[in-house]
Amino acid sequence: MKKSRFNILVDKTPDYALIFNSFSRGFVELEKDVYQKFDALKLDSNDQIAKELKKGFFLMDEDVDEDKVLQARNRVSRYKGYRLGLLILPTLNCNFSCEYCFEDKQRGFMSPDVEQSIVGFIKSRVGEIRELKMSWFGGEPLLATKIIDRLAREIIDLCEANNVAYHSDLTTNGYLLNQKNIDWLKEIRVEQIQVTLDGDRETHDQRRKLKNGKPTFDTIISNLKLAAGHFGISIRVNIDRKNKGKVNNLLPVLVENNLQDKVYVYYGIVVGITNACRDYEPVCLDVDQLSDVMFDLHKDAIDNKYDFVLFPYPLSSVGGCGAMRPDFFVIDPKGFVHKCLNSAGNEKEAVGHISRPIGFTPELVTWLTWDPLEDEVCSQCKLLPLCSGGCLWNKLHGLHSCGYHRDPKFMNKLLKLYHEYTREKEIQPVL
Amino acid sequence: MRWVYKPDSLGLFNDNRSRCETYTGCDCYCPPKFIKLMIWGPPIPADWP
Repeated sequence: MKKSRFNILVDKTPDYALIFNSFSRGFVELEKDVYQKFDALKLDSNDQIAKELKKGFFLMDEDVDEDKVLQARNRVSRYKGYRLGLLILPTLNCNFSCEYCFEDKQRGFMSPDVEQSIVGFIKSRVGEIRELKMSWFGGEPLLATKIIDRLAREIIDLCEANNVAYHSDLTTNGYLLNQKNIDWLKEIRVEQIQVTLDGDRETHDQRRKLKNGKPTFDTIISNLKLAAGHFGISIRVNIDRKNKGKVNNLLPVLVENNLQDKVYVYYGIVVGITNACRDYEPVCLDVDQLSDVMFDLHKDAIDNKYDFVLFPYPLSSVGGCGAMRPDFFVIDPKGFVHKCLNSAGNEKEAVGHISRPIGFTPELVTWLTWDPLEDEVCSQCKLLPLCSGGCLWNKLHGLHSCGYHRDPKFMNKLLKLYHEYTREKEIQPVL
Repeated sequence: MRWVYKPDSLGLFNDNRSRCETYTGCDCYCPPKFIKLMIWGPPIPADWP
């Protein structure tokens, strides 16, 4: 037997040791004497504890090549191709003027020709897939309801005729999420909605204003109350230096509005990496700061029993970011096809155009073949099974590509907190 | 020993977490697709896909 290189010693006390394995995501508490035997590889391989630890990939037979197992798992997932995911930007226009927006505001809307090319593309794939996921994004997608309506209805018909499961989500600023649009979104089978609130009224309204400068918080909260219960709703809270100390003031406001059982909150970060938002970079938090800020926010949520704040227990991005797969594309209003949302609206970074067959352009080949196990840094990382290489767009642009969730300092503190919490509550993990 | 969190099954056909989603750490802008896999939280809405 040997130990996994993906074992991480989270904590060691006089009584026990905590070990996390980033391949299996298993997290185990071992009594001191058991840990000593485990660490010295003195556990009998027929021992029940050794068998359990093998299940969790903490221990394995000598002939197992972990990197090869990881590579196989990633490749199987990445190229299995029974699904298609399209992130559609019917417009880059927006009714908001958020100071940190990463997109170039462009006024145009998707043309009927581009719409028909999208439908044609799906027609060409629908016989090969079992699942289609349409994600409506923008700009503000609710400024382009007619386009989305035509596309969604035609695509739903195509899926039904071909026995393809149809799923759909919408990312909106929430200002136009009124009753009329809620009824319509249900008709076109949108299942999940993401809305952004950057804190309580005062904080949010300083950052996320209408183009004319007017506030948006109260309207969004009213709209969320209308939409609650009809969709899975996630509330993204964007964090940077300006609002880091105040964002959790939003949580009691959600409770006051009786939204605590109907929405999920998750914390996102503001980054200044695209042409549109590079000037905002000094306001963004660096990895070290993020680690502390994010930990404090999640601890605060737990201490105050705001259990609608998602706890970021490490998940595995098996196969990597959707952009690295052959079954996911972003389509911008002009019909340019991208692998990543960061390049939407920038024709130079497109991998093709929806009106033409998508070929093996050098850009596309890079996205499809990049392998973190061939990368000097990623291949040595103990957290590689979780992120599968992180953000390739960042990497291709010479930027830091690890998410803050993968910062060892953050993860260590987070796992200890999780241990404390589960111990106290005697929670049995559901997975 | 005590499982604080039980490990994933690691068989060839047990890969049910193969999605791009924010909480895996790419810090991008898309909504977390797999939040129903989170450990605790309010009940999942009945119509959650």
